[in-house]
Amino acid sequence: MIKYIAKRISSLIPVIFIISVMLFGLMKLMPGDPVLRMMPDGVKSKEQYDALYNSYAEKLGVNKPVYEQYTRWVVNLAQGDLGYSSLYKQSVKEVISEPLKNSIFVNFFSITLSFLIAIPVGIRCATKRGGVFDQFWQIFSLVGISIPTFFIGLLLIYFMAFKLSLLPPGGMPLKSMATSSTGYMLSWFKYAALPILTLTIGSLAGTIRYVRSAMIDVISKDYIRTARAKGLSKKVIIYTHAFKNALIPVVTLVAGSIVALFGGASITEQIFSWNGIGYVLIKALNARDFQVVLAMNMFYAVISLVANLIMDISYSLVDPRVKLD
Amino acid sequence: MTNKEKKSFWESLTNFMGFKKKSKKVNLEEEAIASPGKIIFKNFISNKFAIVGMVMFASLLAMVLILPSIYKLDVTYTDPVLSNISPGYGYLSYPKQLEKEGVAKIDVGTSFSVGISQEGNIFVWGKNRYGVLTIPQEVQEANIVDVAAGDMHIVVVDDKGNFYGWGNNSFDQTELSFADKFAIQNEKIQKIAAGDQYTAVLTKENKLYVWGSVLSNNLDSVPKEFQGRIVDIKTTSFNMLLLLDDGTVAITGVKGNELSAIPSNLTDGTVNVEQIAVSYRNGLALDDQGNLYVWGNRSNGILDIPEMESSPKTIGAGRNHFTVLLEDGNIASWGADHYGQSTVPTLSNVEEMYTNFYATYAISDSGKITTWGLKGFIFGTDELGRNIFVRLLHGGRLTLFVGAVAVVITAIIGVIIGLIAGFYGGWIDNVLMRFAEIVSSFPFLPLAITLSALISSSVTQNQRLILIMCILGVLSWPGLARMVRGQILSEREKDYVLAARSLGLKEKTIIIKHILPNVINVVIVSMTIHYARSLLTEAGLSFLGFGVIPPSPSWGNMLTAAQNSEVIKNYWWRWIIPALCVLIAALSINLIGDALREAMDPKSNEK
Repeated sequence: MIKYIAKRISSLIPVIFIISVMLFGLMKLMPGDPVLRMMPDGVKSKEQYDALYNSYAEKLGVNKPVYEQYTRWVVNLAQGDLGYSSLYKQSVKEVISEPLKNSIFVNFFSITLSFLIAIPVGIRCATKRGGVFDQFWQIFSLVGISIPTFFIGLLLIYFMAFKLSLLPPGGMPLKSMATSSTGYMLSWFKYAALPILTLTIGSLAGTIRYVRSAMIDVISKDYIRTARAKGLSKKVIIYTHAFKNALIPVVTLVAGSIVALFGGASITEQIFSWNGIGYVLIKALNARDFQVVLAMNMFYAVISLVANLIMDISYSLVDPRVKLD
Repeated sequence: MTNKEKKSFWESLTNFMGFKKKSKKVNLEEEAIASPGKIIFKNFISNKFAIVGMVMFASLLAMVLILPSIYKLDVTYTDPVLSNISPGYGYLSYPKQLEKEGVAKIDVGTSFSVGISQEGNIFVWGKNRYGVLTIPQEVQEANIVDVAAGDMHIVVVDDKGNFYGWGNNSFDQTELSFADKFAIQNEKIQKIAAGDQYTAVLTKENKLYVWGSVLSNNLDSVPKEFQGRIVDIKTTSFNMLLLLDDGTVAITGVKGNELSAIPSNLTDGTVNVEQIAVSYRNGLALDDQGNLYVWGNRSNGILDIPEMESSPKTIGAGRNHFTVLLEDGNIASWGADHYGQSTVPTLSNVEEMYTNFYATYAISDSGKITTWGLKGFIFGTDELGRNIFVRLLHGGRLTLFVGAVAVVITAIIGVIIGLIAGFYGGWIDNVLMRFAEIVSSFPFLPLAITLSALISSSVTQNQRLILIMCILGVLSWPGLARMVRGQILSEREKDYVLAARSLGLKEKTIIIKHILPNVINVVIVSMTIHYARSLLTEAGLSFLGFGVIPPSPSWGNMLTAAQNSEVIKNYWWRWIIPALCVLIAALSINLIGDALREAMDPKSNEK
């Protein structure tokens, strides 16, 4: 096992290297000068302007040749320094730490919710295939995978926030507004409810379809027929024999959700003005804040590579037949 | 064969409608001789979801392919006075009662019209924006003699000289101006007029008073030398055209625009002008010799007066077109024709004509009303007064096209890489799959956003479209490549490949002629699913403002405005309708994809 992990990690290194080169190259191709965005207004004299420009260029490191900029960036990255944001005038780490927390908060709840609903529903659909329950969820999930996420979000805002005035249409809870710490906690859920709901509905459909088809595959296997022939109760067959085996493909999905957990959901966060990392990414892109964009794409890529690794390992954990080598 | 298929298609349709109970029949003989293609087709056609999906997608496709050639789109055309109108028709549905009582006067607003009958009753019809359709109680009771419609308000005068107004009152344009109240009441109202958020009154002493939205256009400051000499007034957005008692034309309001450059013979008294009319940026004058003079902006061919069969009697102007009532009872019209406002139907014996903005009402000598022009907007308008329906058609064409090309790119890359990796194996496979891993290790949307932001603003719209299609296509091939590779790996070991090899066929021939047909099923199914997904992605990207950029419409960028909560709250038609289009397109494609997969699944053929 350890040998396998070591092997996988070593094979990740060239991949990460290529990704970093590609991303860095892309950022360098992006139009716009980040230094100009940092320049304060009202600098009158030419010398003063040039001096300021050079000092900012020095700070961002854009006055060096490209390969030197790249090595500097990689060395800094390895030391945990993600760069300096020209938009926020802060280090990138500080810029994304708070949004990262916000994104994880929302995504954690939506992923948990969608799995909690999707697994029992998927199983029931598979076992009662063709029934009314199954047909309902089939149609639901078909619509669910076809509906644009922003449409779910907009509909929720329209009905829940504007028509019924139940929840705020967007924004972040403010600490200063809350009277007590429990009130602050509650306001978190109040503001996060609609983003969570949007993401849950968005991912629910796909998950149900996945669980259902995995379960149907398993149910048609011979060992289930054997179990039936033995006279085992339906519950035992489904939950101990079938579900355990159907879990294997579902694990892939869980691993994929880890990426979503950290990756945020740009569109949903944008609609609800939720200060997550997707929101920050779009803001950074619009402001040509390369360092933030670079750091975040790199971060996404590493997370997804790691998630792949976790997925492979967890395969062998849930299914002893899978041998890692 | 076709007969059988037709029958099963019909059966599935009736089954779906619930006309007939499902009857299970197994036709073993038929199945035994059917080729795989036929079985797939039969399975597909007997799936009611497939039929629904096919019908939905085909009608959507037909709509966005055929209708745009009927409903032309002028991407740069905007019309602020028509902004944010909710869906609906009936702008021209005048009440029959008005026709019965005889028309005394009609005036046309942007999306409504107002008329008074010879019995002094008032009627308003069209779209109820800013409450223009709700006639105040005292107006209903009064005997109305004059009426004027502005862009979104109505003002009237009764036989006692009282002034009333309703509708949009953002600039107090529906109430008698406080400053000029006494002067107007003293001098008595001769004529009223209403423009874009302002109201004008011409008194019996031929003096003009203007109020409402006049801050930017200075319409309220009428030059002293005109006061007391004004015979007729015509309103437009930034100016008012005046006819003076000596037969010359004068203008007030914003100076230095195309409209204020009145031909000198109209102002120096060489010709004796009898009637004036003014559109958004053009003026029209009729002199006592029956000659027409037009000046101003040259767009829409409005400066080219058409040949007329008889001499002009009355002249009128819409927003961007002119209409002229001729002595022989016909009407000539020219200028902009976006809503059919200058396409005159066949008429005879027209006695009177009322025109403004986008509609014309012609009254025949028997009192019959004929009308043409803007009837309404089926899906409403957006913030710039553009017709959402037309933009949807053109945007749909773009959205469906972008998605389709992206899928083709995905399929080409995915199949080639999958084939090569699967067939050759070894280090080639290793390198290609590593590469696929790199591409797929980026979360899709953030990278797509980053890449589209990277496209500099200097590229043309078409280049931008191509790049977006490439981004969508290039980012989503790894999944397909892996799938094809997996299929090839299992096909490669089969006996027929061995046989082909032992026959000495070339590797290329084996791959293309023997293996590829066996994996094409997987590719087709995955292409449909990718198609739906790339539609959604394009919509998402454009929604965020990183996809197709305005003024070219796409379903996604029509939704960009919905990032503003005002739009979500008040103008539902601007985001629900485009989003529904995306949903319907993606849903129909997914239905087809699902049905195809089921039809091709060998397990579903086991009975």
